[in-house]
Amino acid sequence: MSRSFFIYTLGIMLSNIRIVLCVLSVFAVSLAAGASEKPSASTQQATLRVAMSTLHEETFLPWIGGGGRKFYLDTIYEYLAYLDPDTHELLPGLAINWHVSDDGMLWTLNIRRGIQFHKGWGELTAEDVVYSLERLLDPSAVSGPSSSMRAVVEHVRQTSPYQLQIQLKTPDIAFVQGYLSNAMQAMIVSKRYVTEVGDEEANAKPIGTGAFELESLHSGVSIIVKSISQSKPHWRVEPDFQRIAFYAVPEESTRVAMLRTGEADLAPVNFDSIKSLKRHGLNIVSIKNSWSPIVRLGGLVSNNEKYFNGKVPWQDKRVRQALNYAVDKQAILDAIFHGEGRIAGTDFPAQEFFPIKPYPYDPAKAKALMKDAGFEKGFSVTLKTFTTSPGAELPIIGEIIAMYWREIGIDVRIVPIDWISLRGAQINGKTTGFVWTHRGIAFPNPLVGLQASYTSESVFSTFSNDNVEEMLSGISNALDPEVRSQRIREFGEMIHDEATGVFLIFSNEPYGATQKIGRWPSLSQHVTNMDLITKSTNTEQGQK
Amino acid sequence: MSTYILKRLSEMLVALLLMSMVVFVLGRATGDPVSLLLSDYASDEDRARVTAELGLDKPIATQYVNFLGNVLSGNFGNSLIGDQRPAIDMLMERFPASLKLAGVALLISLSIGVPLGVVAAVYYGSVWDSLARLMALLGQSIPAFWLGLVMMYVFSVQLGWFPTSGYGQWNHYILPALTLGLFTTAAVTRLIRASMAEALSSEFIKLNRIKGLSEVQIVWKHALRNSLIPVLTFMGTFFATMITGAVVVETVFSWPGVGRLAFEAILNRDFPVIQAVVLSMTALFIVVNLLVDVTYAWVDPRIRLAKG
Repeated sequence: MSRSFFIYTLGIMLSNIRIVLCVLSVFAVSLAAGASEKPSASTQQATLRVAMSTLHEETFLPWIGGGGRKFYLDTIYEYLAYLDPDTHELLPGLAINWHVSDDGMLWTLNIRRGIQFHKGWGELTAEDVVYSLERLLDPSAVSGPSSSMRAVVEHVRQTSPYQLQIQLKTPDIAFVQGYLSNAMQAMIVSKRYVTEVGDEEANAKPIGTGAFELESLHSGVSIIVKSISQSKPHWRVEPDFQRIAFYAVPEESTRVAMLRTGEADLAPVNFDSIKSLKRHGLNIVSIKNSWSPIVRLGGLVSNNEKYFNGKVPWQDKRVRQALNYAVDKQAILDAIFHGEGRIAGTDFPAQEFFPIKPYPYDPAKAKALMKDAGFEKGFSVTLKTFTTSPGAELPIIGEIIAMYWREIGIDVRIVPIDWISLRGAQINGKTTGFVWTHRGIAFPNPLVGLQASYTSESVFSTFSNDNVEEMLSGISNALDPEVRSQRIREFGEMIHDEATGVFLIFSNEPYGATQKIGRWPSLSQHVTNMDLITKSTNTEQGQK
Repeated sequence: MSTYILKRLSEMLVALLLMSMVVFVLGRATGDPVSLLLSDYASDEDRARVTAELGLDKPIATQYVNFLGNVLSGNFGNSLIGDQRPAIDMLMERFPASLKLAGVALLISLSIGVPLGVVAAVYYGSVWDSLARLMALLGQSIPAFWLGLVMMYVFSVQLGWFPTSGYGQWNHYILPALTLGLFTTAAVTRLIRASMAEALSSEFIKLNRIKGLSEVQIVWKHALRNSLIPVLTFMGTFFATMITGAVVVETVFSWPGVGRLAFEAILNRDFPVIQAVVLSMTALFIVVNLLVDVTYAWVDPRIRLAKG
């Protein structure tokens, strides 16, 4: 029985496999019939394939969704002004120039002539700009800057076909940079198109003035945009790629695998993957100084009871400084960030803050400060950690911080939590008794970030007093750009001296890139400018 | 029979009601979606307005009653994110992808698991049996996320046979379906092995042998047919599990199915979508189980008499 039965069984198995293969083949044929044909090698060369962790809301109107969508929306829509990613100089965009009144509250912008919306929807005028801004200011808008814009803008009005004025509620000489540039979300849509077809269709089939237009959206899978420059050159961008395909790939290991197989040309990667990618001939193109891991200390808002706790040991400035001296930031930069960043001397990445010297690693000084403050034997503290995006490294950074603090006698209890829960606690003033890992981000207008963390009424306030509020007013009221910059720098120094948090790293955001990718001039504030990515000059060599 | 079905249906409703409470309360206990909808720097006024617009300012009991009323009329509410589409539409858009993946995975499971189980039973106690058992053990103990990544590394990165991830072409199915199907393959192998071993030592098989039937006929025609009953019973459950439990596989392979929708909704605290996914998948699971049980009871009257 044995041999014949075994052969028969094998036969059955094989025939089963054949059946499976047959079924799969039929299935495959039916799938293939519905699927698009595999792109040719030349199409692949002309397509930039970007694997992102998420495509976010997959919506296309600026006011229906957050700033996370900027990497694809910025290829379709354009802005009134553009920040130079290298010099941070503010350059003209859809607005050819602008000026502000002497009181810093009335902005006049002149619109570039001759800019056409896609698919024949006419020339861009000030009416389109006013409409776009009003939609962002509308209470129903949930886009990133809408809420803060509503707090700043009194009204917007058209003064001529190519000119508009924006009246502010308070002076802001960095208004264009802070709200209207490509570091934010004030993209310009066609009023005629949106009002004629309605929000639903305009959201599904976006019309902008950018160098690309939407080719396809496959929910949860991909967004593909194609260049409009085939017929006529675009006024601002000469794309190196005919298409950009954005794929949703939530798992980092999968994105790394896609880079290695050549299925993706560009993808955000973890710091841990950098060495391995380089070993396999891939490049790392980083967005410089885009965020900063930091430890925030609860209860330091002395001019708001809700966010104040007089009992925490870190009310004493010497303790806060000790917490900074106790941590070896260089070790964290090397071990966790693989050198992708710089040591931070203050809260979040801003040009004005870069010259501020960080606290050196000096455990002896940390112990001395603790002793001076009456905490020679240390104290107990709860450190809450969670991940953010960017900020997957925050829990491990929390572990490392705890290790260093234990060296100076602090008993650290780590409590994992999620960001939303902590944010809820913050809003309700329930974070005054503990410390937490957090991340600062780069702001196009640093004052916005400072106001969020350092004004007593802000729900995210972590440190404030009357002097701090006065300094912030001084920045806000400065009508001379030089004076304003100087005051921001002084504020940064105050943050450093007061040790309002434990400052760690101004971190880059690493992206793995194939040999196909040349230069990517993204801004620190957002993942953007993908339409400006160039092909590597040695692409062909790389392909060979 | 009708008493039995009515009893099961009422149990199903109670289970769904309990599940709706759990998902509703636990979802809200984990945080506030308003902070995700608005930027970090949104004003208190905007925060309060959006909270009220979403009905999140009402007492949780009121929110639950409203939710239940809407669900009974087939309305799970609109997503809180983006263009705020109906949650049920988003679910139905992703459902076919999960269904197709589960279908291929189940096909693979049966095609490998049944022959393997038969071999293990026929060669009970031999090295073939040990091998089959080992494979079953591994299949049931290897975590899907690890297996998926290893398969991706071997078959995509090293061998270049299949794409790492994606959706739309036939070759996108292979790795996620194998990963998803392995657990079920192991379960099918063990079930077939156990029931075949029992069948092969039964009186009616002995009678067949006495009657002079060939061993091939005995195994494949008589013993296997009887042994397939438990597999068929579990097949519905397996299938439902594959659809409802594919979060990890769909995430690893960037598969645009219901599992990934749930994953994204949880990250965004998109309550209506979470509720729609959990309740629909619970209902699917319960209905499949009910159908299996009813079929079983219909085939075997002892069951309905015992349970009815």
